[in-house]
Amino acid sequence: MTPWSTIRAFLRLFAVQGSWNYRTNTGAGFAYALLPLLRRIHAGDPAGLARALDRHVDHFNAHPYLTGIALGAVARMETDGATPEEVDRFKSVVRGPLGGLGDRLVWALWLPATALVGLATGFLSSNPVWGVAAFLIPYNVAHLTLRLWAFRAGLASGQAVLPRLQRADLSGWSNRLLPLLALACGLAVGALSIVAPPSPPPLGAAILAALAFGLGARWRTALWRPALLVFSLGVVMACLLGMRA
Amino acid sequence: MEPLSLVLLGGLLALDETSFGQFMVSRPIVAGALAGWVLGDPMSGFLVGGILECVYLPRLHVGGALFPDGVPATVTAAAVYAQAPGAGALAVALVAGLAIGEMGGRTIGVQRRLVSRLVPAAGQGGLSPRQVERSHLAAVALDGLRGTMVTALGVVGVAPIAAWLARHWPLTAEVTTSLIWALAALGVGMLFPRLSGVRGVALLLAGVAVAAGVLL
Repeated sequence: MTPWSTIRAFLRLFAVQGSWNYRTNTGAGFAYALLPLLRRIHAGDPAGLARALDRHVDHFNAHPYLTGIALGAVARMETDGATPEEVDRFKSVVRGPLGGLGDRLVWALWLPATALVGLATGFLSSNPVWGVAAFLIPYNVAHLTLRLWAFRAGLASGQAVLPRLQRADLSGWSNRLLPLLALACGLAVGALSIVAPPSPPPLGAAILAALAFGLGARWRTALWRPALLVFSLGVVMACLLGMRA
Repeated sequence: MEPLSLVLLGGLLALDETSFGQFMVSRPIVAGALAGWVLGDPMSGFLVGGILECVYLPRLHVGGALFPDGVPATVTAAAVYAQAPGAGALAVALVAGLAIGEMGGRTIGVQRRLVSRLVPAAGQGGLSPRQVERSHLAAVALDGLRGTMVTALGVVGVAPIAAWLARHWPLTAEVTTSLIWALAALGVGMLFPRLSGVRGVALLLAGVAVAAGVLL
């Protein structure tokens, strides 16, 4: 593996979900990202490269930011002469944990926390640039750090990356984000009152918002579709009534 | 020029959702601000995007789950709100955006089925690097095309009708904005973490107090 092939593989990881599909999930994307490294590993052996690609387009799925762990480790294993069965077994073992850890840490906690802080910043400052910056900068500092750490950990540790993943304690990081998310929820609900002028908003509007927040916290996404349906139908009916009047 | 710019913006940002980057420039607050900037009022776009953000955040993009397409939804809603400002228009813009977002989500399912046929299958005894690269890049291009087409439908097809409907809005601004605030608060409530004891509620109230302090 050369530095350039390693950098190319890392950059291709940003498109690992580009061919997400119901048959192989990110399998083809995994092979696409691994290709620069496979070309070096199987230099002068086109048949070996073709066989390796044939194996790696098979089913794989993990959180996109943590896929680098599996990709780096697989590249290390292929370099060290691991058998195809060992590599396949490793990919089967890591994909579940990498998906679960990443989904909770990034999608369920870090993304909503930073997005709500950005939203509150934009509304409170009446400046969308501040809002977008307050969201994108912290979000992507962590995003890029996680991607880089994952890829380097995989490349350095190979098959032994799982203990390293446990030591990194990503679940612990998730738990530490919970208070930040709670605070961000409060900031966002308070800042959203700007949609209901005058300031301070009418008491009835504040009570309705508090009630809606409580319903969301109690029933979670079970309410998502019914609530949107009621809101949408209500708006359409109001428009129709307005047209008749 | 504005509709064309919005459609191209929608196609470009849609790639960020899953196909390339995932830097979250496709999130509604960013897409809304950018669409607003194209339309000459970034704050209005950010307002529309901020409310849609609260609605869409509880829907996680995990595994094979289908999710509403936030980019065309936000760009469409921003286009409606730019054509007919006011509280009623904001409500109609949100509904127009939600409808396009729902439709966009369905097209993601169709695209994934198409890509299933496009990508090479394992177990053929060997694959050329070119085969892998071409199929992957074709899938990325297909996603960009899908995002562009759904945004075009929203901006050119749905937005003018929604803006016309918004002109017949019968409710007062006070009632309308209260309902919109409640919708956004419902979405944020779905994200509120369950912390032990009163810690969660204390943090929530602290956040509300900070926001209220700044606003007042």
